Amino acid sequence: MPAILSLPALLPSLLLLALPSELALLCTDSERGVTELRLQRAGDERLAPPVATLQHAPRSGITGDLLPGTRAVLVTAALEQVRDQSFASWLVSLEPGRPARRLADGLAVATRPLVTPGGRVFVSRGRAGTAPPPTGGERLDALRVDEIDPRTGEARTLLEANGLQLLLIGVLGPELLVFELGAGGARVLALHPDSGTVRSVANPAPLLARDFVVDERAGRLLYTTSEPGARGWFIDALDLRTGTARRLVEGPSMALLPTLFPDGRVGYAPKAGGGLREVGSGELLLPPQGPGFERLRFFPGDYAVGLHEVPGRRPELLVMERLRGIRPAVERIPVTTPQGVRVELAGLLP
Amino acid sequence: MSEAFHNARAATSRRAAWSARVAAAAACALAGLLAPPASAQFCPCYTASSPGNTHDCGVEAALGINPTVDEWQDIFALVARGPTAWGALGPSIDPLTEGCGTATPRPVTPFFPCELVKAITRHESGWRHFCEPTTPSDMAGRSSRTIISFDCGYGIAQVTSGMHRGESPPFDRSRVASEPTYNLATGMQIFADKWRYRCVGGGYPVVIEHWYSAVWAYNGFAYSNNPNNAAYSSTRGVWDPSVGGSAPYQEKIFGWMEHPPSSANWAPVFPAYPDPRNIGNGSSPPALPEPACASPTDCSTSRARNVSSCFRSDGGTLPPLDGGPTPPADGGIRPDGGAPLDGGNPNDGGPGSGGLAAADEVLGHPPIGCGCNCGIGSASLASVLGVLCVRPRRRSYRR
Repeated sequence: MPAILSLPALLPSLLLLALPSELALLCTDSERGVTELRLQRAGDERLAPPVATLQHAPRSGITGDLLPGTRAVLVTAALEQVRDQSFASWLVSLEPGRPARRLADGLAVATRPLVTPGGRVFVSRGRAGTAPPPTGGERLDALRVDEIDPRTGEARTLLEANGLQLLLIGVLGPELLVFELGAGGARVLALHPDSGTVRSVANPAPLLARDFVVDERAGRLLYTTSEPGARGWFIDALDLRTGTARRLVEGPSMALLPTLFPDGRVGYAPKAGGGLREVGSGELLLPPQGPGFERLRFFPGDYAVGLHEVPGRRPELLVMERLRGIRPAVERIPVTTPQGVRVELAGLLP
Repeated sequence: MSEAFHNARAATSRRAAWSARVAAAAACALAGLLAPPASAQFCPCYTASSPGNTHDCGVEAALGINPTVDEWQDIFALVARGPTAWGALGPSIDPLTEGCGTATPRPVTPFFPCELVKAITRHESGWRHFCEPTTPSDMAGRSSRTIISFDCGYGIAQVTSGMHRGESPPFDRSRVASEPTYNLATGMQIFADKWRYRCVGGGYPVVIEHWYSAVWAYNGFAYSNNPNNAAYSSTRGVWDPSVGGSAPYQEKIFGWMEHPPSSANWAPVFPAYPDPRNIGNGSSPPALPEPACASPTDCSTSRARNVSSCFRSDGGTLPPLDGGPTPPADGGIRPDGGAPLDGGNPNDGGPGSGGLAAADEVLGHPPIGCGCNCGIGSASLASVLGVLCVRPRRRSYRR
């Protein structure tokens, strides 16, 4: 097994020539309920000024995704302090130099919009159902998957259900993959947004499945799961053609974070502070970047961007260039961010 | 003099003080409208008569000024001890069931872990019953009055149930709006009702973690509060209010307990969490075994459960036990650290079966740590109980 080296930082001026463009960052002051959009170049010591601002409920969860081909970031946030957070989030567009623009309300808590490379926007929305009697029963909510026009906010409903969750988990060719959880169990659906066709991919699906990754090249869906009474958590691979699942690896907690590398290898987090290792071989694919977990996205030019997440603490931005050579290594590129705020990476600008 | 007399006198004094505060607030209101300062703290007041009241909030806001932090501490201490302490300052509450996870559950006079009371109210209202409204627009700039949220949550405890137009709850709605103590006590009436329907561990009200499902229910049995909801990050860990982020309601409350705003509010508590695999994937949890996880997302490390510090004998704050023996004087009510219990009664230290220890043995978890209350009176007692005190996760704070 080759040793993994972590090289000292190169000169920032050299890096700037090869770096990806600006990072779209959402910087949230949780206590005040303010999120700023900053377009920050990695390696630049100067902090980029905020280019747009959103006022929202204090301590609201904030997610965001860059709309491809634009400088607009689609943000989800609870704008009002309401007790039932189930569908209290809004989809808001933040663009440099413009006021925040509300697009759609009723988004499911903690979800993020699914934005396709072509710029189509899909969200999970709903309305709270009737509370069951306290002695038992489920609260089933009116759920739907909508396509939202990011220019106008106009919505088109693609899928409706009465249940617990409709979670957008990825894209498979022209179809959207949806994890549906209802009173009768869970399943994975493939939804064609143009024809409206819905087909079942896996029925039943594991109830505790999370952290889904679509491996389109291999025709499979990766996810973390476990069962009551099990000692560990597992990464399973679901064959999208046959619907059968295969167990790939076991770990101690739900934070196994299946990660699909550009060369097709699957990494996972064996433990906090363990970096990412390859499923199967155990080869170290990414050295640990701290005491927590690495959650990555990959971009052309061998750049990996993401967050280093230490449970209970503010995540730290990661920008790394994966250097090729006899011994694979990563070069951590520093990113200047404001102090005392939570940073969410919305994407890389073109 | 009896404790009840002291309580009644104290209650009369508090009512007089509140009346004076209300009068002062009314005088300020008569002085005219004041523009809110530029940095005014967010303060909703969707009072019944406001055009902005779109959720049918049924009660008008009352004028008033918030208690000081010290005054709040007195209110919390009173309310945590339940209706026998608050008397006419709050509504009545039916007995709680203690020991739902044992062979011999029994009714007990209601009482509540003060740590939870403080954390819930901190999250719900920031320890504010009154504030100077900033929204809706017709209320902005007016003098301090009852905080009423968009969806009709009133006051310190954000009492929502029963506060809409046309509802007739079993409490005085106008007092919920106007009296912080009554509001908080009403919140506890609602909280007590949530205790009844889901059992956690042995089901002892003195154990903070045994209220996990009741806290979930206080916000509503909804899938948005299920820790297995895949929309929540699997690396989120213990929620920290200064960090924020999405998490189920009960994790936020437990997180507040661990991260108080300051030492003047409360001492940190490090609660244990249930294993999410035992919670399943519904809008409400089933009966749960003893929580023992150090984090809502990681059960590879464990934590001791916590007995509420409100119920130590040193402060005379132990609630009366219905038919049970007097707890030992060295540290108040506490779990026995894994030894079998006497028919489910954790307080007499005798041998037996059931309760907390049984859950530990079945699941193979380490015995309940003594937490901050690990004040075993004597070595002989410890040997009888077979106590294994895990390393305490917090220092012993004294209020």
